[in-house]
Amino acid sequence: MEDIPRLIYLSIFTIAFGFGLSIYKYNKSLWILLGLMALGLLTEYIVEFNKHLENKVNENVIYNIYVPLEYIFYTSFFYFINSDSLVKKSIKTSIPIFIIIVFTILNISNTNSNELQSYIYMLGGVLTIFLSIWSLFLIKPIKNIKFIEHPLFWFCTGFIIFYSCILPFTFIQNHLENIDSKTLKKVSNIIQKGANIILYAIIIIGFICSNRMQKHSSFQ
Amino acid sequence: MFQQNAKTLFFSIEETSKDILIETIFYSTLILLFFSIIVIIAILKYRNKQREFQEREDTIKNELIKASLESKEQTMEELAARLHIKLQQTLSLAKLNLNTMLMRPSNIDINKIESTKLLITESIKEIKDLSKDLDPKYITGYTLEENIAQQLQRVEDKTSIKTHFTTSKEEINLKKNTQIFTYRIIQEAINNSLNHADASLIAIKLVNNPKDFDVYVEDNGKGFDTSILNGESNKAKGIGLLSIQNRTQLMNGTFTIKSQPNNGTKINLNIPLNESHGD
Repeated sequence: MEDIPRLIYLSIFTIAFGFGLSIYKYNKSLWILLGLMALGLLTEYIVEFNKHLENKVNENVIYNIYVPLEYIFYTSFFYFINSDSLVKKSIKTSIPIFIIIVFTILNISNTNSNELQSYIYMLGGVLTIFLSIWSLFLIKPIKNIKFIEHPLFWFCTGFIIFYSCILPFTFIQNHLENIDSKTLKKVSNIIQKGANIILYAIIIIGFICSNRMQKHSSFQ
Repeated sequence: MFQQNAKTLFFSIEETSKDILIETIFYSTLILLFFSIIVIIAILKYRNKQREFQEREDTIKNELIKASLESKEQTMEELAARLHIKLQQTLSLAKLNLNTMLMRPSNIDINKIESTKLLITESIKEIKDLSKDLDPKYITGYTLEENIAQQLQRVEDKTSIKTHFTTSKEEINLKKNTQIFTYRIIQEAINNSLNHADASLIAIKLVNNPKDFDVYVEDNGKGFDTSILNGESNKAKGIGLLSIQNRTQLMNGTFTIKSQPNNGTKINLNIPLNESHGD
């Protein structure tokens, strides 16, 4: 693999997934997060395998399948980790609306499946940021547990940082696809990989905090 | 010439893209900064919530100690009354019988011996009951249903008031603190009926629901005008009702009271199950 940032990203992603599997899960919805990570890893390895086959399948097709599923996994994670009924109702409503919007974008944009559907990705990202912020404010206090010791703090912060870094570049790339700028693409590529590395590093911290919650498990 | 134009165009594209890149990085930083502020606000909010949570925990702890002490005190008072009224009288009568027989040893009445034996048997039974009630696990060692039944039995023993107790078929599985609070609330409601209602009947009903349970305490006493409770003043509510209200709130439950002059009083508590009330 020539792309070193991608190699680091895939390594840290795999470590985070392995770590997540082995630790104590303070909340059952962490299994959903692990499910999402498994799906993400599978997608990335399929893309890698595809590269070895000299891109028999356009990799954007693989990502186009992954992105809507990713959003559904994220919302399911927030659905089960929050006990607030308003959040649950909003998530229940958002999933069908998201699916309708996905199909509408696919029909209106008239793009072929070989192009990356970045609008869908951006929509999912914005909604995930929104859900992360909402969940941050709904974290229930636990005796002797500081906010930064709470796993959900790390997961939410990770998603917020990740999408805040990624979305502006996705937006710009979307609008400037006619400009063939090597610099822009290179920087955008590095930032995307960097954001992914930060996200999974933060997720590992979240898992560590989840493990430390074991002694406070009676409060859950 | 063509080469020159192509080079200019390439550089102008690169220049534009660099500007765009700088702008994008700038806006990304702004977005990150914005979200950082939100995260800081969330941290501050959590600290506030944690402080409130701690205060609530302390209140629950204090209220629990208070409720346990009150309950113990009331039980002790009742036990003292039973010792004085029942046990002392029975044993005094037995002693009197024995003294009479000792005064006339040649003329022993077998009926008197039988009656003395009966009095002593009664006393032994009473002592057994008393020691059961003096058990340190007197609240949590029994189920809520058992505690209420014993409390009502004590009311019947002590007064001429009739009691009636109904429960759901399934026993209510309560956490320790919830049980102490609920039992104390019921004791308080019974006290109110005994002291203020002039009732001849007190009825208690426990209803076990999947997610919560209901307690109904009803008497047929003289009742009162509940509009006096609408005032915010604690004096109007009385210490008893106020403590019922506070303890119900601590269990995240609801408390309603219905009453009319000469038409009895109905108290209803709804307490959610499976919630930690400082357990």
